[in-house]
Amino acid sequence: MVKLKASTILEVIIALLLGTMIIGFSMNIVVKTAKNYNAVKKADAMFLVQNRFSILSENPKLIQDSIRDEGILLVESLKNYKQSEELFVLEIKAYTAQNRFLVEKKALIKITDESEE
Amino acid sequence: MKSKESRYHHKKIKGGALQYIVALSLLIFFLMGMFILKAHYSNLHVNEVIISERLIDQLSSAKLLLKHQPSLVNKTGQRELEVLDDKITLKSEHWGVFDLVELESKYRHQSKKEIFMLGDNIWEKERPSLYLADKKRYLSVCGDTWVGGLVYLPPLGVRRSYVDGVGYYREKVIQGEIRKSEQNLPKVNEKHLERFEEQWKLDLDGDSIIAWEEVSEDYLKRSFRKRALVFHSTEEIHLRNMSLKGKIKLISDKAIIIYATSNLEQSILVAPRVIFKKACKVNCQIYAKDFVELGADSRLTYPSIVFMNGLNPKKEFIIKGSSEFHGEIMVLGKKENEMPSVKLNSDAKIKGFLYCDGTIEMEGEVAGSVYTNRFLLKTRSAMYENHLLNNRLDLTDLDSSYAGVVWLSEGTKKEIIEYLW
Repeated sequence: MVKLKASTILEVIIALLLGTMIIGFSMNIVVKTAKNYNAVKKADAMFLVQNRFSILSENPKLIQDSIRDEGILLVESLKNYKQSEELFVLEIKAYTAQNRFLVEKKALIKITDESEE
Repeated sequence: MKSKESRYHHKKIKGGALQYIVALSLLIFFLMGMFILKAHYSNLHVNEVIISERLIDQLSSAKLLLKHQPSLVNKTGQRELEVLDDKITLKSEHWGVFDLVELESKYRHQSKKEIFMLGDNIWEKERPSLYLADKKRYLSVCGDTWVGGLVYLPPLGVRRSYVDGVGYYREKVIQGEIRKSEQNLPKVNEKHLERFEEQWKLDLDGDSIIAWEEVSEDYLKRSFRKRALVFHSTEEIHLRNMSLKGKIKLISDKAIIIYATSNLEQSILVAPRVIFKKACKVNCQIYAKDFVELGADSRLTYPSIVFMNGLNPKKEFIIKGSSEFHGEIMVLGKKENEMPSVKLNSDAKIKGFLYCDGTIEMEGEVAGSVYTNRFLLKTRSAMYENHLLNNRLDLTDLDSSYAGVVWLSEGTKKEIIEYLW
């Protein structure tokens, strides 16, 4: 009888168990990292916010409380800057569909009668 | 049988699934590490961009605020400016009649700086194309003269006239609205007169002062973030084959003469007499007490300044033929019977502002505003007072983006003239 060198049943069970644990653990990290970092989503949101900001700076009448675009929720607000009649604070915040904060843009803009028209 | 046995001995099958799984897990961990690192760095990069955007927004907000609240730069020095959520460091100082402003916004480990020259928004208040003080003389227009926009004239008004047999060709004598002028020109804001005097003083603490005679380089440049480089001489300064760029000031107790081979950018020249030879192309501010001449075919680019004042009699500013001046000209210092004068030779052009508390000999054209007590027109046969012959004066010819100096009142809004380095 020839003896072949191979794994015992115990070794195989431990290996299977370890393999499953490692893969499960890794998948968990991958999903969590992708969710937490969300770099692509943030970059997308940033472009959307920039674009929206330039539109609203030109025409503030187009402002809406919230707007949904490409799965991103944009929340817009326009307030007077201190007591100024011409300067306003335009703020746009971007959230994911799950209401996770992504990016924001806040700056002073000048609104004249011409731009209101 | 023997041969079979030996075959099995040669071909050993290795067991040990545990070793395989450990090796595989190491590989998976390595790949995982790589993935996490990549995700981390791309996130870091996006965050850096977001912070950078935030700093840019802060700076643009601060600039907008400065434009709308000129009082923020009235005081020189450094202070904190609270615009939105973050604090911005504001540093301001005078550079001639303009303001130098440096803004720095910081957030976390990033910071952004900007330095620029701030002037006045001249379009906020009504500006005339012409303000002719009431010296009990009317204005006479001849030839192809065009006076557009708002005009302030003596109560005697305007009439068509003939000069050397040339009449007035147009239908209307003035193309815009006519209002009555006062006996004297509107007074220049005191702060500008103070700034004129400031130019002649050597600030031993604030500036780096060097004797002009010690300069051996032919190319000098100075960042606006540093202290001003001030070159002083008790003798005449001749600028030949030289280039001066940035925060550089030249002060001569006698005269500064600039030749076409020289290049000046944003510098300040201070001397009793400043003479630009033929075909100079420069950009600078000039503060003089006696005489300024811009040679033929020369060009003083935007934003240039000629500011003449002082008690010396008979100040004179001459712009020779085919020259162009883009900026502001202020000629003051009238004494009894001795008036300063500005001579604008034929084909010379001013884009900006011309104020002469004396007489103007006008042969060229002005796209902007002209303030004067009287015009003089010399022909081969005679000399005429308050006559305009083939001249064009119109503020609407001036580009609406032009920013200059509000000389006659307090400016209500500021405008960025240029970004500096």
